[in-house]
Parts: sequence; structure tokens; C-alpha cells
Amino acid sequence: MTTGLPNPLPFGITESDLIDLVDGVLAREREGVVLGAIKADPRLGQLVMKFRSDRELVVGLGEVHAPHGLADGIESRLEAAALRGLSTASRDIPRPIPISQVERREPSSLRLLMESAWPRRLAVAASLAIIAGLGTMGVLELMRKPVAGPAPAPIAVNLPKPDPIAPLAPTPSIEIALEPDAEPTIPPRIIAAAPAVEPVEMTDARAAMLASEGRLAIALRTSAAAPAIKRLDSLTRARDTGWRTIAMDNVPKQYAALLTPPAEARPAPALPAAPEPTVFVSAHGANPQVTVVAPAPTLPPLHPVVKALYSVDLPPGENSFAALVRSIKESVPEGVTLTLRELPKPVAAPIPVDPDSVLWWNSPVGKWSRRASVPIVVEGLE
Amino acid sequence: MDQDSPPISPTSQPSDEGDQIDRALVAKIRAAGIGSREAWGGLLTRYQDRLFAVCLRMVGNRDVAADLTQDAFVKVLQGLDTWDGRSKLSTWIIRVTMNVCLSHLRAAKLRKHASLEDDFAPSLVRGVNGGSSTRTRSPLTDREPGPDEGVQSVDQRRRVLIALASLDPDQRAIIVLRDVQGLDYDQIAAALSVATGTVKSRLFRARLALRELLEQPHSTPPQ
Repeated sequence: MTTGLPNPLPFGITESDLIDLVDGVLAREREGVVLGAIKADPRLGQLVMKFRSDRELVVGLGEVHAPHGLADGIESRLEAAALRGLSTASRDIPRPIPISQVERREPSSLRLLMESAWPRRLAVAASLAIIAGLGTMGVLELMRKPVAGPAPAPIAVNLPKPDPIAPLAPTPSIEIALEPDAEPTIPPRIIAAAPAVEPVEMTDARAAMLASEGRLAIALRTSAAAPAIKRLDSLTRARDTGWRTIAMDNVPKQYAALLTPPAEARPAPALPAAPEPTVFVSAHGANPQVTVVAPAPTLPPLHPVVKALYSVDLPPGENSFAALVRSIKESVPEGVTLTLRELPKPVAAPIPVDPDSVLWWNSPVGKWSRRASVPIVVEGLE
Repeated sequence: MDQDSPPISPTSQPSDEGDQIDRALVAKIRAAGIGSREAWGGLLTRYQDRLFAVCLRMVGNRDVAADLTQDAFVKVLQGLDTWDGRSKLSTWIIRVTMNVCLSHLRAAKLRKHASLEDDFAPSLVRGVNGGSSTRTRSPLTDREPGPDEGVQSVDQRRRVLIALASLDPDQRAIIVLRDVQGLDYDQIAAALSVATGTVKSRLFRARLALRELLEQPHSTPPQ
């Protein structure tokens, strides 16, 4: 060491004493000891003088002034820091920047409740119970039999309205002219009337049974088909009615038998003079029955033409079938004759390709049962 | 920029009146937010020379010192909420600034590579040519040399700057705080987070190291 500092310092003298002496702040009670040590060792006095000289040199370096533009630089740094957030907060700051700037939000009581185990388990159990209950209700709904009500009145349809000048009510019986020694013959007009609409009496139960087998068709015959078709089209557009329109230009082959409807006798207009009546004998039963049939001039039979074809899906059962018939009657205008036809062979309705049919499990449980498909034919008389 | 508050000398200590000015400036910044340049402009005007002096004496380069001064003031603004008012604002600001300088020196190891050419060479030129040089004045010698200051004075300044730059950063810091900034021992202790006795001990050793450097026959800037 070139400073000439005695090492160690004389007994009783500290570095702090020498620094205080250099700065001129030595306490009075220490002056005696320090000055005594300096007298004893002049190197200490020389060191103090050198320290004072060096201090004056450092102080004499002069004042400096900050350059211009510091504020601009600071402002840009503040903007950059604001963009970066406080993640780059310096460790040079004596104390950390308080995190109270971060807003703390208490979680809701519902969330706290759901975060614990038992409420979650109870919620899962309740959900399972609800699902099981709904499933049970659905199964019971499917298994429930229709409530047996009073026997519905037989539907007497396809019967022409009574006409005073029309022939007597046709029966399935064979009418024979009552002439001696003559072979029973079938009058030509009777023969002509044979293919006409046959009266059908069909109960709801039988109709529902046929519908479930695919052997039932509903024919709507009218001389003005357009209004009826218009109203039935509105049913097909309604949602969840089960009505579908079958395009006439692309009728599935299953429905080919429905395209040839039976003919119907044209009601006779009023005649100028009553012709002579004709007597027929019915061969039904044990006793022959005499029937007087007023002769009426027959006109060429009306030819029904299929104007529209529909298919209705409905749950099997009398109630649903009766509801279908009732809805049809309420929908079609006056003058439309509704006929239930028993088909010789079941008609396998094509399965429609639509979301409700393909994704049947998305439908309500009540719609999961098998559906009966009933074709509905609208026939116009021409 | 707010010019109402008078700037303080780099070596002057804020009086009680100055302390009240500081508190008013801090309250203004806290009210307006650090995004308001008008709010912190007064504080910058008041302390920029002092902070720049600390940085310049610590790093010895004017550009780096300006950069560190801006960094330090930004950190002061960002951490202003942490100043609880128990210590003087000036002491706290210098503490932040000194930490910035020490971090810079330690990170870049400028203690080994700092060049004092930018600091003393212009002074030498001015001293020799009588200030007629067109070169930029040295930030370390903003004070123009007087007519009675000759080559010997310039040489002394050069030797002091070289010796100062050759000191360990911690020793340089305590010399700067004591002799350049004029802080008392308690303020230095607060600025460096050490005890007052430790300040005196470190100051003694720093002066001793400086003396040894100045006694070297041909002081050269540290490589």
C-alpha cells in the first residue's frame, strides 16, 4: 500500500474517526484521541490531508446539466411500459410495486358451492334421477293401453245421399226380375252399377287394425277436388301432423293400386215423366224379397280420377284413427265423401328420409312407437 | 412542463421547503397519473440535473448517462406509490437512480470497458485550445475552464476521472453520493440500504482506493 497508512490503525482509532476528521465532523470527545494518535504517527495526518485534497478534486469536477429531450424520452418509455404492462417492473425500485392494482373478484357463492364435492355429487344424482323418471314415464306411456270407451258408432260412409229419383239403396244382393219361367238375370243397369262404390260399414277398431296392417286407405271423393286438396295441403305444411304429400308425378309403386279408383254412378237428373217401375225379387234370405225399383234413366258412370295422394303416419289405435277421421272431416269442404277402403294387400309406406324420421330418438318419447301409415287419396269425379 | 418548482442543484440538499415542494409534486402526479406529462414535468425539471450527474459520474459517458437518467426517472414514476414519505423524496429518487446505474454497470461490466475518452478528451482539447474547439463539450466538465486554469488543472481532472472510473462500482457510488451529491452519512445509508457505520467504513476504503489510484504515476483508463 502506497498511502503510508499504518496497518493496523493505532489503538483507539477507527476508520470512522478518520472519515469524520476528513469531513470535519469529528465529535469533540473523539478529538483528543484522534489528534493524539496523529501526533504519534504523522502518516495519519498526511493521509487525512490527502483525503481532503482528493475530495476537493472530486467536488471540483464541476456541475453538469442534463441534456435536452429527457422528457420526450421519458414519455416514450412510459408509453412503452404502459403497453408492456408492469411485467417489466424493475427490481431497482426499493419496494415492489403493490399488486393492489390487480382487482380481485370473489367467486360467487354458487361457484363456491359447486366447487365442493358433495353438492356436485348431489347434482349428478338428481340429474340421474330426473333422467330415470322421465324414461320410466316414457315407457309407461308407450305401454299404456288405450282407454276402452263406448263403442264408436260405425262409420257409414260412401253412401250416396238419398235421392227420391235414384234407385233404391243398392245392396250387395243380386236382384232378380220376377218373371215366370224365366231365369234370374241381372239387369244391365244393375250390372253397370255393380262396380260403383260399395257401402262399407267399418268400425274404428277394425279400421285401426287395418291401418296398423297397412291395409287401409282413405278415399276422399268429390266433384271439386281443388278446395279439398288446398286444405289438405295445409295439413301437410303443419308441423308434427304426420301428413306427407306424395308427388303425383313420382308415385311409389306401393301406391299403384290406389291410382285406379272404382267408378261411381252419376246421380240422375230429374226426368220429365216417371217411367214404369220395375219389380225385382231378392234372393237373399229364406224368403224372396220383392223390390220395386223405379226405373231411372242411367247416365254414363262418372270416372273418378286421382287428383292427389297423401300419407299420414299415426300411432296405432282406435283413438288416433278416430282423431284422424275427425280432422279430415273438419278440414275438407262440404260435398266430399270419405270412404274407408280395405286394401287387398298391405301397402308398405316408404320410410321418409327426413331428420325427424332418421333421428327418431331426438323426437319426444311419445313418438318412439311404431307408426301406422294410411294413404289418403283425393279423387275427383269427371 | 411545469416550471413552477425550482430546479435543485446537483449538490444541494433539499430543505424543508424543498421537501414540501417535492410532496406537492408527488401529490400532483398521483392525482393526474404518470401518463400526464404536465404532472411529472415539474418533478423532472427539479431533479433532472441531479440524476444526470449521478449517472454521468457513475458510467462516465454522457449518452449512456442520459439513457440511464430516463430509465431511472421512469422507474421513479412507476414506483412512486411505494414511496411512503418517511424518507426524503430526494434520497429515495437517488437511491432508485443509483440502483439503475449499478445494475447497468454490473450487467454490462462497464467497469472494465468504460472509456473515459468521451469525458476527458474534449476537456483536454478545450483546455489546450482555450475552448475554441467545435467539438461537443464534455458532460463531465460543463463548467468552462477559467482563464487561470492551465494544463495542470486539466491534467488533474483527467487523473481524477480515470481514477474514479477505475474504482469498484460500489466504491464509486459512495464517493459520488458523498462528494458529488453531498449527501450526509444517513442519507447515503438510506440510499444504499446499509448502516451508517458501514457507510463510513466503505467511504474510508473508497477514499483509500481512490488515493492509491491517484498516486499511480501514469493513470490510464481501465481496459
